[in-house]
Amino acid sequence: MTSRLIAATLMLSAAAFTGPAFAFDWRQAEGAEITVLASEHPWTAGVREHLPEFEALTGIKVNVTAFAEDLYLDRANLAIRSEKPVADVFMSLMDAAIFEQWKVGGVAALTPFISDAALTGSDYDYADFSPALLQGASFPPGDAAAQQFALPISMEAYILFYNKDLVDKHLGGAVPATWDDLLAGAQKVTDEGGGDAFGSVMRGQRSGSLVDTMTGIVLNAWGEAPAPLPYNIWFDGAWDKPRFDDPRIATGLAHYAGLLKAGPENALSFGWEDASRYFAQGKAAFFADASVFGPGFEDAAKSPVAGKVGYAVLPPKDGVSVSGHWAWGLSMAQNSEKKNAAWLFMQWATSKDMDATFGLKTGGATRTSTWAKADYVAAFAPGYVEAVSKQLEHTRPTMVFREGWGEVVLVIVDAIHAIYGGEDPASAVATLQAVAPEVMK
Amino acid sequence: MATDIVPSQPSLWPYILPTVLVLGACTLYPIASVLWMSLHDWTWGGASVFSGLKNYKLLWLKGSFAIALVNTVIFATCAVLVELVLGMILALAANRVSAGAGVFRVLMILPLMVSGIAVSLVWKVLLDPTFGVINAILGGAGLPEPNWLGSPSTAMASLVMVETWWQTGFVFIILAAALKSLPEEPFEAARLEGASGWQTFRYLTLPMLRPFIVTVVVFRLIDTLKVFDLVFGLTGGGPLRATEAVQTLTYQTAFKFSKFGEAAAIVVIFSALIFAICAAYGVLDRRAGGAE
Repeated sequence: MTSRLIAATLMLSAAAFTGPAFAFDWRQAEGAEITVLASEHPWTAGVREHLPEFEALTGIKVNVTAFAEDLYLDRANLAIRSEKPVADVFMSLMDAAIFEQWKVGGVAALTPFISDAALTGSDYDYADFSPALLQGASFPPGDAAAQQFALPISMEAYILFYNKDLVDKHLGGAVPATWDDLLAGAQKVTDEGGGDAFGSVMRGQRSGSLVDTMTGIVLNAWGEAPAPLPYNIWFDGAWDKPRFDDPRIATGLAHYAGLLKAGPENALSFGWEDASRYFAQGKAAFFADASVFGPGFEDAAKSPVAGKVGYAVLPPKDGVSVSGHWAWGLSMAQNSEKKNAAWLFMQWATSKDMDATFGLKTGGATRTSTWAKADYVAAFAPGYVEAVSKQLEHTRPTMVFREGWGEVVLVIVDAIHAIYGGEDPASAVATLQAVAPEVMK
Repeated sequence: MATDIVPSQPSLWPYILPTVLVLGACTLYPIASVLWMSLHDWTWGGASVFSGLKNYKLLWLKGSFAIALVNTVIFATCAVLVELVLGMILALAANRVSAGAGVFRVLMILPLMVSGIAVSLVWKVLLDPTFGVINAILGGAGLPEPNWLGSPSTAMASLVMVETWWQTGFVFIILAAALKSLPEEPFEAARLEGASGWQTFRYLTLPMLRPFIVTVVVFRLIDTLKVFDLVFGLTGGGPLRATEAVQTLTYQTAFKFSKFGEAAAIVVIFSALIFAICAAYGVLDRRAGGAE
């Protein structure tokens, strides 16, 4: 399980702390100019802020070109498929998206750079990244000789946010510890809220952006039973063995639909922007979603719920709260003509120092050592790091490595919507079991 | 004779041929390319493998295209009808008033200057059941507060409402200008004959406006059939696919699922349908014109 992997990486990174570091030539690509294609994300804001430090260190000029997420993803796909180089470094989704980019040969392998002592400083400590995170861009999946195609830069686990005021007012201050209690409690808040306060808010729109939150909640219902990649929980070890109608999947989807149902009546039109806005405005008691929302909720300048947010792991199954994790990554375009300079930037941006620095903005540092730093932990609201760390002890990757998986996600969302509309979960997943393989053709 | 001293007209083809060639290539090449792509499996960067009619068959089997097509046709038909009726009423009103007509025209044109995504974002906030102004006003007046964009039964009507707010100005401009261009004499004659307002409108104004109405309908129909920004910004195609449009499905299929062959098949079928609708409308209009 993930906890063992994290423990192992902690030990390895502790060993690395004690190792000697020799002077690394950061100026070996001096004079080069590279382009970083990025999504507008707190990580990107951090990079912009500290870019002069990198440019002074290396003599490399970096142009950061950033777009809103949806637009960015299209631009990145275009850039890596271009015959001529458009960007040298780009932010990648460490899931089926980078898998597809790898399949078309658009992404450069990073392993040769990481393992080259002339290109990577001895203090880089690659083992400090959790293998559970790295497998999001380790291809071919499951291959002993797999190479790394992205380094994680912002990690998120799927946890439960709650509004302390609303929980106090409607639920006597008791945070529900089981799914039954959570769904009943959420419905109670909505019933008593009079249209001004709701029990929960979730992403409800028929969109691929539901995939990780939804998978996190289904993984929670799945429990600790094996679900290896590339199939995850959805296939029984082979693409021709779908198991969308597994009762655990039905339960997980029903939990998701239940939280939607206990939310505002327009919940099915919510993207993450809408759901997080409702929660940040103090309109919802519960919000099950990515941990990266935490720092934003605590920003008193923008969030009326700052200081009033509680953090918890998802309700446990058989005493263990399993959830999902996912990460943004940093990748190198195969068509880049300045790979060494690009790698120096990537190495700097994913170094221990920068991970801790950028992690303060994202709340999702990706190095194990960062989460062990007292000043990193102290920078967040009480309870945030504890909840995320506790959840990370039992998280699994949310991705499925399969071309066209995004389209399957939409029919899974259809099943959630069907349950939301009153269909029996077993019937909804039976339909899903019939439809999903057709969509995958 | 005059014809003897006027030099014969040289052929115009050498002058327009380059333009025709460039425009032809810019039109024909993409069409041929999309047709070709629709017969292949291509994931944008991967190998392009000939797959015959598989992509067309998949569209049929998956059912998504049929849902999107029906939604799009419903949206376009309702939006154009409402815009036409409203635009006509407003143009007739503007034609009768003299004071403040300029301000009225400017107010009608203003929404046209706003981009579709901006319109979507503003209306999404306005129509939000919890934070939106519209439901706050309705609630304050003791009226029902609809779940505008969140319910499958109201989402399409809400889209049509926003589209109408946005684009009725276009219909208004064309029809208002057309009304100004109509000759005075037939109307004076009708007044002298004692024709009622309705009779004047039915037997004079409407037939005389016919070419303008046809133009407006065709333009608006083509535009609304291509709806993308409103759906993308307001509903994302939901809830429960109630507002999934052909253009958003195409975008999703191509850029989110990297299934360019399938997306091309959607484009081919949809383009053919639009062409057929326009051609049918043209034929019907010519027949109707001939009959009169």
